[in-house]
Amino acid sequence: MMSITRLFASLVTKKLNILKLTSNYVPRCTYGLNNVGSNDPGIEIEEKKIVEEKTSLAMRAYLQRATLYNNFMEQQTHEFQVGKRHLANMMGVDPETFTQKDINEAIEYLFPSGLYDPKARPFMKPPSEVFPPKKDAEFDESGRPFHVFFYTGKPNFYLILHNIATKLSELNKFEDSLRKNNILPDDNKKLSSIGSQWLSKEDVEKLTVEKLSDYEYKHFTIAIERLLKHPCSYKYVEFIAQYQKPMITTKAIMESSPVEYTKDGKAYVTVKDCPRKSARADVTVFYPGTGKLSINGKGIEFFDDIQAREQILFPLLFTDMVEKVDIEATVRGGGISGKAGAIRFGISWSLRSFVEPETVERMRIAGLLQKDYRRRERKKPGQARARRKFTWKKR
Amino acid sequence: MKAYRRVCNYATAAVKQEAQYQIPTASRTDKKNPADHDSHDLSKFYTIDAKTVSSIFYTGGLPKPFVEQTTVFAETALMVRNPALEIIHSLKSADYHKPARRYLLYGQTGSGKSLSLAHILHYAYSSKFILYHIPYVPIWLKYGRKEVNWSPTKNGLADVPLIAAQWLKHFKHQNGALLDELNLTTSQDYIWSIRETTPKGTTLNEFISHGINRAKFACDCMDYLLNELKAHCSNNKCKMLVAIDGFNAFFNEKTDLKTEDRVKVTPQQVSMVQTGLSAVLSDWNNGAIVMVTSPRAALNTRRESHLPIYLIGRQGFEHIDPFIPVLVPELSTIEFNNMLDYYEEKRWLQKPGGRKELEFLTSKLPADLMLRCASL
Repeated sequence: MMSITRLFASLVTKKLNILKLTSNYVPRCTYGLNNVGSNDPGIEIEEKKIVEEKTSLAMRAYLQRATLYNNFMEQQTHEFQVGKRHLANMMGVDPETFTQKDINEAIEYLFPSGLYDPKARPFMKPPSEVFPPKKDAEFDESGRPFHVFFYTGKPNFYLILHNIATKLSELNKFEDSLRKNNILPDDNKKLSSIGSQWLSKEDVEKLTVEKLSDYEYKHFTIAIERLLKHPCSYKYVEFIAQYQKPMITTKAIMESSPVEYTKDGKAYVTVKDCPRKSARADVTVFYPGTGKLSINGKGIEFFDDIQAREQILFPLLFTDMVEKVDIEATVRGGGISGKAGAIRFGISWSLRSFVEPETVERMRIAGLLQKDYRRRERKKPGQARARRKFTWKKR
Repeated sequence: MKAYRRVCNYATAAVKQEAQYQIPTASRTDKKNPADHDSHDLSKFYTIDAKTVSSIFYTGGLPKPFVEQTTVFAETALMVRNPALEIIHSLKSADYHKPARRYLLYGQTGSGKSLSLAHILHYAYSSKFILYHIPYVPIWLKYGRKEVNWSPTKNGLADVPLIAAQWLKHFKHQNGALLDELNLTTSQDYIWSIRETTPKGTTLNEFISHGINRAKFACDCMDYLLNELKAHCSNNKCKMLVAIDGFNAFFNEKTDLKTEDRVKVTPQQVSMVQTGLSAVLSDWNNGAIVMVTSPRAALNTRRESHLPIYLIGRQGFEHIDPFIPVLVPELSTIEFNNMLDYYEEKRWLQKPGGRKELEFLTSKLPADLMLRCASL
């Protein structure tokens, strides 16, 4: 590999990365007929001329593309750096300490945009983030692919699948040998997928630098799931973990808020600014209690409609705490359902401290602990509402 | 389909469900006369017989949803509750030589104030009180177009003649028989116009009939009637109960009424309101006054609190001071359970269980509960 770089040092710029997934195949000697079976770099000067003659059409085309791309990226990076310094000077800040965050703020200040979609607003980012990366050379100068799975079309992806299958068959063999010796796989060591999730399709695409179809991604998840469920999967924890990512939110959800105590020894939890739509609620839950409820100084009559009342009741009913806690809530902003939803979230969030961890998990699955980020959709010009169109009349 | 019907005797595939639980029965009291009710009957139901209902409440007095429910249940059952019982007890033990006592029922919307008043009215009716009963004041001052004229007799006041005539009909329906029995007569000549006079000694029934037939004079008739009754009560000829539901509407800032010359009329400018206000003055004896303040009778911008001082204001408070405030609270646990038993007995509520949920959702307000159980 190194030799290729050396060979084409004049053509390929330093920036061009060498393929990363190289561990699984032996780098073959690629210097032409004179060099067959020899790995000695000592004679390479002689071959240079020959090699260039033998460079395949595909390789030449690739090199051309790579040079163009690298030149383009260099140009863009240069422009970005100059632009950044310029911007820093305009803002009267030291260009050396001008960070991306400062750039964003400056752009927002200098080009205020009324456009609704954030993607449509002006921005200035490093070119590496703006332009998609390109794959490196997949074949040598004689046109012979490096990768064993080159002809599958998606070598990196199929390599992963291949590895999974290999590991699975190894585990099967291992399990057989265990059973031959009358040993059962250890149940305690068994892996579980709780608290983590598989890499998303986008993540896998980024990892392999290959575009995947939904069907292919499904295959990947089925395969890795099967590996995980194997009774001896603990042997390949690290391998499996490569394709897992932790559910960060789960951890935050399971950790309950700190409990405080009133003067007469009642435990209580206060949650501030529980959001729903544009309503915000401060909720305090006292435990033990008798089922008293106060919303802005009123009872459940604060809400006239049943839907809102049921929203308040739901977390209490779900955890069977209707008559075991007292609730005090102040709520502001928003409308009726927003207010009710905000209080509901506050109640469920503070109830975590007073219920069993299993119940918290059940609450999480029921969606009680999920913040609702949905907002009102804007009205569009030329339409009656957000989605509703005017009645179409021919004339 | 036909074949299927023949097989299972049902038009649809739904199979008739067997009652899987014992349908509970509500606890009731046998005492038909509210005068007999005591603390043993608390939170029990008693039934008013249809004849009495039609003679007291035929032309108003019971809330409309409740009336609908009574037609469904085919009986008018009221729950004996503490506020009404307290007032009845107080009415029984009152000293009628002293000026009329004033009671004020107040409470949240849907807590049962009007039905408590109905209970009291039933007591008064069966104890031969004359009922000077205004079913719901906002009916006078709100809802639809009404004919409003400036009063010919009282300067600056407006009459609502048809409504007044309607009320006189209501009064006559409630008290006609009793007035005949007591044989009350007018104490002076009333000159309505050049040709129309009511001489001294006319029976009050005839006097009222004149007001009904000549709606133009209905408002004045109402006023004179009140004065006559007050005088009769003070002379110990009869007893009277003044009952006003939605009393706080007298003190609202505005009404929906407009005279023909397009002047907006405030409640205080309506002659009937002035009559009503004079009815709650306790310058007479041998009777009692029961008022009900309700957030619903207030303007919809002033319903934050159900407390009387908020609803009737300082002016109204001074007008009726001193009075005995009686809070109509939400149902107690026993009352709540008995109410649900009653609904289950009547199959108004078709499923057992979920009582705690209902308790939470309705906060034990009976009107809310009735509405909530309708769909269950």
